[in-house]
Amino acid sequence: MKVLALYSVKGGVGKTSSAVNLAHLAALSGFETLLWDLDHQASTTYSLRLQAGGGGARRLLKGKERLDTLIKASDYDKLDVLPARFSFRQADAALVELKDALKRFRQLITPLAEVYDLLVFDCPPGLTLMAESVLRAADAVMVPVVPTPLSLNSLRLLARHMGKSCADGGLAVWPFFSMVDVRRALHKKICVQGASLPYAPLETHIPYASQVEQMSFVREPLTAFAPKSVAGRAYASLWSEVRAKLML
Amino acid sequence: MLVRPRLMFLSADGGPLPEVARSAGLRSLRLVEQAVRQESGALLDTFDGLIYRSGAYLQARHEGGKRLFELISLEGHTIACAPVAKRAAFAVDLPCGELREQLSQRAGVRRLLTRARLDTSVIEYRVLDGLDKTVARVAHTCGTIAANQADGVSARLPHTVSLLPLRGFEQQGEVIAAALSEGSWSRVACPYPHWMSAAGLAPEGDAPKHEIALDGAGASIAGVCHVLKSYQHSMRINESGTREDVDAEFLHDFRVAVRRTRSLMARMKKVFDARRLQHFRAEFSWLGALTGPTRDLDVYLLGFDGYRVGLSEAENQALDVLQRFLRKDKSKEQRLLARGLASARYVQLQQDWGRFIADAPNGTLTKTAGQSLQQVANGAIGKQLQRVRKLGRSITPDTPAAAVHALRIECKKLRYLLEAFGSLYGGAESKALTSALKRLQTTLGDFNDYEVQVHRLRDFAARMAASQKSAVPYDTFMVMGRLVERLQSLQGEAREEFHERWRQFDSKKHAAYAACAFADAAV
Repeated sequence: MKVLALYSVKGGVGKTSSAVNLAHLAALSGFETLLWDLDHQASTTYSLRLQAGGGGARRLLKGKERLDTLIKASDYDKLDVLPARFSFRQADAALVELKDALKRFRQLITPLAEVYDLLVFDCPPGLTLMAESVLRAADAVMVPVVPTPLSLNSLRLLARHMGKSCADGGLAVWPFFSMVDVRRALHKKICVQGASLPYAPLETHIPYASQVEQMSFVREPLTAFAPKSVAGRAYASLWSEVRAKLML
Repeated sequence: MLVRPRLMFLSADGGPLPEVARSAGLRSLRLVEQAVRQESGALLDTFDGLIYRSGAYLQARHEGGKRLFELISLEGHTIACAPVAKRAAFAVDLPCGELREQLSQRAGVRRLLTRARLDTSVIEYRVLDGLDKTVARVAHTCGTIAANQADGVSARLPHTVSLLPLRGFEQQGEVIAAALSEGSWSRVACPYPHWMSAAGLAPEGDAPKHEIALDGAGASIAGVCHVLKSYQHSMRINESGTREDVDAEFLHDFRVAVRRTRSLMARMKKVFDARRLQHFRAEFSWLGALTGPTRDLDVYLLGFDGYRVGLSEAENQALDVLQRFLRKDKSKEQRLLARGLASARYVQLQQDWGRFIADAPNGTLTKTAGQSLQQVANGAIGKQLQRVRKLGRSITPDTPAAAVHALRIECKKLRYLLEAFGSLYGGAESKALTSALKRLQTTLGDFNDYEVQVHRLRDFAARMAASQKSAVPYDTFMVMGRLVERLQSLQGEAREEFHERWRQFDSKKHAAYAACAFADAAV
């Protein structure tokens, strides 16, 4: 099982839409895929017509609840979801109590490898203990970056914070430009002329598109309701790139 | 792969499914039609229903321009599914993977035959909850089914519903299941036997029953003829498969039926008119000889991969020459066999034999024919057991292979008798004796197979050297020589194993049982 995390220190950069569309495309490609919504805002869960769960974060992180009993099928073949829990806003507090906090997520997901080919984490923003534990469990982390100085700074912050441990743990970091609006001079400049980034970005850019925002209204992946749209095609291209890198 | 069991329902008259949900008052759930498709498919199994007997069924269908084989358990979940080539006829023809592995285990070397053809219309529904979330998938199949034979007439397929509750929504699935059951739908574990029954087919195939129910107190001739009729039935049902070389098992089963017939005639000769029986014994001996060469070559070809184990790539290539030679030889022998089975002599034999075993109980009876079957069977089995014991006890590590072979033949005769009259001897002791005999036979069979293979390989080598237009590579002969050495070593191991197997068979426990069970003898 390959483990992919969608993560950014900064919020509102397109993590959830990328996680949902990439997981949907993985399932369409024939891979048994699980999408775990770790963000207590439950946007991923809502986008797939599911409801957030009510159980406690502590019980789950301590392994007192079986993950496989919490999984729900999405409307799409081969795509399952582990819905968000409101209690995950307190995940760090629960993790602090554990001796092996940083290894916790790796231990939790090990049994899932019997069933799934790919696990996609949709992580909440912020430099948190939970984020660090999730990244240690992942093979690769995809970081959506809006081509603005603030977003670029947040990537540099991540690199400074995670740099050494990423390299030690063999975690690949794949930033990609998200919500790109080529009509904006700044976006164009950063995307076309390039910017000094701590990691080489993926080739695909995800455009800023109102259809991406519609996902939360129609509650389906964009790649399901508008696969031929510009953004839909961009996600397909991003998935091809990631699939090759993950060697799936 | 996720295992998602389906709940299956059947109905004679069907009816629109959304109505079922509405009439059951399911306010929070509704069925929404998603797709309608026409499908031409097939149900496959071996001639003797090995896949069904192993707890599954095999369905062929077309999807996205590809021909798919789906192996489904009788509990309703997909075990394996893969695209297959049109020419795939045996498990070994399938691409490597779970499906091939599963079918190899279940069907062995038997051909995957289309048993019935399906022409169906499938309506797929999604079951949505109050949030428009899909909680289950439902497929309603209706159409026709026809047995895949010349006189196979299309029959109406029972309306079939497959309900797949999605993960995490099992409760909603149960609600739908209850609504269906309250209507005209009956929940079934598996629709396959019902579909086959609609086509007039038995899901377990055409294999003859192994144990024949006999009346021990009745006249022996009636019982013996009853057994012989079942052997003739076995020959009949395997006849066309043997002639057309559908798979190697048809010939194997045909030969077993011939051998059992010959063996029973010999052991029960006093039950019949000796003069008339003599004719049939000669004719069945001809039939046995007719089928022998093809079966021998089948055995070599089926076990050929075993020869290749442990050989280098170059040695394997050298062995290809032998494999081609055997295939050519097999085609030639198969033609002779098919001609023999289509001959007037064979047709006449089966007709005369059928009449003979039908009329014999009603004609003038010999003294033995009128005695009870139990007494006659006891006598024949007891006598054969003594013969086996005498021969077996004389075997030493230095006994020539021919004597070991003679013991093998006598054991076979004993086994045929025990199986022919098995229903007269119930109980664990009888089963234990037969099991010990089977194990002994396996070792004796291995010993003999290695002996025969060594001789045949030497014979093949001589014929290849003499008959090939182009010279046979030297490497081929060298590899064949190595094979002979390996077979001789295996034969040595089988000889060592024999003594332990014999000790188990010739035990005091079995002797005590035999003394008691076969005591009341007439012959």
